[in-house]
Amino acid sequence: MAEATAAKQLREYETVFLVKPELTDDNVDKLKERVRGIINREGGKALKFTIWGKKRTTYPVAKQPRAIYVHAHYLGGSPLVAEVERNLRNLDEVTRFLSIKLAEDVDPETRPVEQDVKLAGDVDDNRPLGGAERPEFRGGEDMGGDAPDEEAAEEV
Amino acid sequence: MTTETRTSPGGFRSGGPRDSRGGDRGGDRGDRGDRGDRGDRGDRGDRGDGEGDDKRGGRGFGRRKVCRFCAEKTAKVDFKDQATMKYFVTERGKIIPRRISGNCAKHQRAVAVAVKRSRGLALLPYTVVMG
Repeated sequence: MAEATAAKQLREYETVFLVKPELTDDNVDKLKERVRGIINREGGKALKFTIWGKKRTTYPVAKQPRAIYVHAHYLGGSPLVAEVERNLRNLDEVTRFLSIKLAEDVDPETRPVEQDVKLAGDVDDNRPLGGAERPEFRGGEDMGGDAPDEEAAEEV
Repeated sequence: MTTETRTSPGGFRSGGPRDSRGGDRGGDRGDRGDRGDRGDRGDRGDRGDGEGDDKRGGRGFGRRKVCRFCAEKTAKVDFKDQATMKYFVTERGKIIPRRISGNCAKHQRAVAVAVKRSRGLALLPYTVVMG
């Protein structure tokens, strides 16, 4: 009995992948369904897909200053992750991907399948290109309170 | 042990000015000393505190930084959360040391890993060319 339950335990993973920005929504959906198909085929459980939308990247990715981000959250084993990554590598539209293990020994029954989410992204298509060369990176403003501390600490 | 006790105050003293440059780190050292050898604690403690007070008085060392991930139980280190991750890198894209950010060691390690993951996905820059 204990063995039977242990066999059912899966690991929880998430994969984020970047897609070329010129792809249409339909094509992104197709990619998403393709990944979902792989997960189901390999005995995993797709929990949630989130399309973050078109975002400005902080540096050019595949010579493009923006990319469409897709986030997949699923349960499965390590062969499944290898298969997903192999497929992403073979797809020309996918420029980057990152898979992370979130948890060990998750019972698939306890995790509900959530509805897919589609976010708008943060890039207005009317704005001129070239964002990645001078990225809108405002780290300095956010940590404004901390910057003087650094100087003070170094002075003494 | 005895030799250690004899040499350590000297070592501490010589280390004093260097430590005080680092602001918070001086405090950390002091704590560690207190927690450590009980035997020479008084000697070391006095020395350390005296120096610390002098320096701190001059700089107005009042605000004790707390690790924001320890303070807020709901806050998780997440490489996907671009807005939060930005807080832990400089304008140049370098990871802010924990003596500045105030993170505890555990969460600083998590932040460092998360920043590196974010960089891989172009959510954070590897480097920013200034000027």
